[in-house]
Amino acid sequence: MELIEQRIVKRAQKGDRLAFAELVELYKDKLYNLGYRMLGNQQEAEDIAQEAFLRAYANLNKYNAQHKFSTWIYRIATNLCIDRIRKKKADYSLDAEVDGVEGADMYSRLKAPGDTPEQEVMRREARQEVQDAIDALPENYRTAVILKYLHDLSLLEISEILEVPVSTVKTRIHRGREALRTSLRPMQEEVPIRELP
Amino acid sequence: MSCHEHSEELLHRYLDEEMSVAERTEFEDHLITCDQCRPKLQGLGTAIQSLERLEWGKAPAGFTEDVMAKLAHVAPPRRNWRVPIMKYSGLAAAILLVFGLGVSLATPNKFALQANHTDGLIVTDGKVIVPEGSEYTGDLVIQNGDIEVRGKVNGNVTALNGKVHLSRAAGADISGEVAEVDEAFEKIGYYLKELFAEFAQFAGNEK
Repeated sequence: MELIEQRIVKRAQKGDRLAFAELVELYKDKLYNLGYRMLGNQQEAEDIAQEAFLRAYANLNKYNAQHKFSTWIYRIATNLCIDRIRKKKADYSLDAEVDGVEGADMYSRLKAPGDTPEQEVMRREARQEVQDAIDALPENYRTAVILKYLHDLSLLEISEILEVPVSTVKTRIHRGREALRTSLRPMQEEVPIRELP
Repeated sequence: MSCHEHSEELLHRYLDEEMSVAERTEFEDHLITCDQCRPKLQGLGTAIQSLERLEWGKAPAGFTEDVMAKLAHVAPPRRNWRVPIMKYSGLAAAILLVFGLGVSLATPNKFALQANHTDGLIVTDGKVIVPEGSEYTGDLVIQNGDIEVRGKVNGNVTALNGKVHLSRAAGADISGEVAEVDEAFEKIGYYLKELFAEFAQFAGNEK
């Protein structure tokens, strides 16, 4: 697979647009899902995935076959996502205006066929709760957790994508998990009061 | 095993399956009895499961076509060393042309002498003579005229659009450089050199 991919990349680097289209086909779902989970809505997910491919195309001659192509394209996309999150934060704090209607939820297209409307609502709420918890994570933890649990990437791959040591990736995943545990805790299970040291 | 200090780290190592068999057995024994670690572990497990259960959506229909349509206006990437040279050669030619034009306009057509002083020099129309037995100290630049050196010059002698005659028989000597600059191209070179020298001097003064 990787060998075939490298060949496609080489063709694309020589200016073969069809080869690049093949790469877009191979990675579009990955980048779209990354964007969706990082940013929490469909429109931005699509924008960011598109922009990532445009950047990749413009910088194709800088891609070095010593690394996996997936690492490179994921790096471009995660950087774009993090930039977008930071920019959103800055915009938000500037004019503190609440976003209007965000794009329709991706789940509306993904409902299970046998669900009653009530079951569907419950499912949607449960999933929305998870996405809200993800959105509440600091972007460093968010990226690490998404790449690990949704994209099933190894710690080493994640460390190469984010250009940080493996130990840092581990810490971010641990902290991310810890934060998710706290925010996803069912209501009835109350925290035992922490004893002071 | 105490639960207070390392429990967090141990929980994560347990989840990541980084424990040796012995460590794991010990920690599992601890989990049974510890009412702090057990709910924490359950909570972490739930968090991980809810992440892993999230759906994997598909990029919208027509995504690839959209990207390719946007790329249609972008030149394909090329590793081409000629491109930068081609790009700047026009600019370089333009600069050279303007500079050349400037030089040719700035260059007087009449005879002129540039010197620190004219003591001991015989200056006639179209000719400068350094007489036999005399010694001139300083640089001499003659434009549109010749210079005849019979004595000594301690400095450079330059003739723009003219000739430098050296009468060695009369004991003539020039300690510096002798240059005859005729062609427009050479003139440009000469002025560039002057310009750089001035810059260097300016930079030196700044310090």
